[in-house]
Amino acid sequence: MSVSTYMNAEAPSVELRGVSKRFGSVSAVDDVSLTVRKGEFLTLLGPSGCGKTTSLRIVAGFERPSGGTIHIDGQAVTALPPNKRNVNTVFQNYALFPHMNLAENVGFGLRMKRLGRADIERRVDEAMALVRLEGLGKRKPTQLSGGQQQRVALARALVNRPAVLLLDEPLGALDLKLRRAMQFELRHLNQSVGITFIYVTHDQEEALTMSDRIAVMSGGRILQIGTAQEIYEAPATRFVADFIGESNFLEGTISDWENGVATVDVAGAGAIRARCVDRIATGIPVSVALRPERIIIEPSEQPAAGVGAGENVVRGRLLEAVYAGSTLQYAVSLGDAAQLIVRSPNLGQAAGVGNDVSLRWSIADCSVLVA
Amino acid sequence: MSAVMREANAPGRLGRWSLTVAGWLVYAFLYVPLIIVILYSFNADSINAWPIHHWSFGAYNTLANDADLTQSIKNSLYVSVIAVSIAVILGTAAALGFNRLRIPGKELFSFAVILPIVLPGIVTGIAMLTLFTDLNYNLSLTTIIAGHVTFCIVLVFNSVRARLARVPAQMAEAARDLGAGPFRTFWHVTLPSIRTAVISGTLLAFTLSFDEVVVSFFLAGRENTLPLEIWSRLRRSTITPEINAAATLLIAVSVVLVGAARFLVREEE
Ligand SMILES: Nc1ncnc2c1ncn2[C@@H]1O[C@H](COP(=O)(O)OP(=O)(O)OP(=O)(O)O)[C@@H](O)[C@H]1O
Ligand SMILES: [Mg+2]
Repeated sequence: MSVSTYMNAEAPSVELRGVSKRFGSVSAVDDVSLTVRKGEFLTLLGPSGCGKTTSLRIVAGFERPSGGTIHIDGQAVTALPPNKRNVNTVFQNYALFPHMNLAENVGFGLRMKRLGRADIERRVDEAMALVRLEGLGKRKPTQLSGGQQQRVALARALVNRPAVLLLDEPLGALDLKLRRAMQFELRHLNQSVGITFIYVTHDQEEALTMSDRIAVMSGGRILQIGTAQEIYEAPATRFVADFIGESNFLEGTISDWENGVATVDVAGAGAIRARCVDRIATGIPVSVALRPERIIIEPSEQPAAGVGAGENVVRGRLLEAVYAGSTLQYAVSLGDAAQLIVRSPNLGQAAGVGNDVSLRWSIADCSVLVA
Repeated sequence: MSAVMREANAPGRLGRWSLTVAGWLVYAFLYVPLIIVILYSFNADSINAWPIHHWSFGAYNTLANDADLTQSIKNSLYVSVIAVSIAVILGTAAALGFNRLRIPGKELFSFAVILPIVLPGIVTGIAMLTLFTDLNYNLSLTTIIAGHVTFCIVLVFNSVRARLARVPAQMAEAARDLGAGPFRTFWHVTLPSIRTAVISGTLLAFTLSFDEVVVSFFLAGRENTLPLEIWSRLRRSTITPEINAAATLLIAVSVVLVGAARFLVREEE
């Protein structure tokens, strides 16, 4: 017993190896491999229909994968039914039991574990308090708002203290304020109780602020997995760069590569140097991804003071300036071929539309993506 | 201006009037015979004639002391209770199985289950009589039960199937997720979610079975159900007050059961 406990402590919380799921001709999940650490908050992020729910359902045991294996705490569970897995789910559409009141709903898992009545009552009360629904135990699910139902679904899963909690857009129906509070609550819970969270969301801001790591999915595949910073600063593909935040893309061809920095010839902008970990042969078409807020915009008649060796400088014409309160957003054309969006903090002075401007940004802030 | 409006309204008012009258006529057509039966069951004279001069519960007394009639009521109860019990189990099981079916031609299966109620009773009666004759099986209350099961299944099946279609599949998944095995999932989640549909199907099946004539007529042996007993008496004589009393009991039972079934379905929605 102690040996296996020790071994399990070493094992990842959830591990998918080469998992696929096909529905007829649709490949909902396509060769996904994923290792989730104990107590980690991992978010699956991606557009609608990319396979997030299906991935969760495979971990929960509702779908048998067409290929691949699943391990939970080192134990192979691929063939185990959901009730034999130490995993609980918060469903996208709540799935509360309509004929039971809230206390019965929340206590259902404990009842199935045949806990004593007093224990059940105490833990149900705790869970209801955690989601701020204390005192509503006698209500029926139909007497609740969408947000309240969602919190009951959360309590019903949490009360069982599973090894892994699967959450399918659990805050989708909440208003902004409650959503923020619940985000904080969930994160706190994850850190204090040590339950592994696999969290599905559409909302990139939620993903960025809550997760230890984010797996960006598209078309049933995981395109990139990493911390919020890794994903945002060094997107692996154009899709990732575009899906997480906003990005400019400058199209060009490789003219040189040295020590992780590539030089890219971009029509209208000249030679741009950008981060590029792997060597890419000269002449290959690529895009350079660049976040709008990393660009510094200045009137071009000013001497480009302090342009370091680590910076790119280009000249362009200001096409448009949009006032957005705390920020100003500019569209700058670089010749006919290229255009950049720039976002700067609003320091009280907007650049004049129609004027020539100079743009600069650090080499470290832009990266090369193979098209 | 107001004259124009009044003119425009006139046909509307007339239309509403005629609709109201038509509505009352429909109700009268449906209910006057029933009310007459009920009233005559309290008639003290042995000949039914309007107006009723003497009121009494005599007919019910006669009914209680009429051995054949009371026996037929017992037979009817026996047939209906057994037929409906079998139908509830089979119909519910069929609906649950149907709900899980993920094959093309699913609707064909459903149609095959529903067919017995679409077919005229006379067809069911002839078909089953042929079957029992071929099997050399003696006609009795048991054969009537077999006949009743066919259409009672349909009522339960339809009622439960309609409910299951509205219960999200995720209900059962949530139960499994929370640690319930297949049996406890069925017992704690699936069954409660179809409970009222099963009950209302049962009540409707019972009402239909209790006053069924055509299929019973084909499949009856020596023992009569209540409707068959009434019918055979009418062939021999006229309507007597105790027949009105028996009919009134039938009406009362039907109203209560159908009302309860409606109430349960309504409550769930
Ligand atoms: N039971 C099913 N039968 C057939 N196709 C399915 C089934 N479940 C999912 N799919 C398909 O698999 C793909 C992935 O679906 P999934 O529900 O996992 O997406 P999702 O990422 O959760 O989307 P959303 O953000 O809209 O919830 C979709 O194309 C969907 O149509
Ligand atoms: Mg989904």
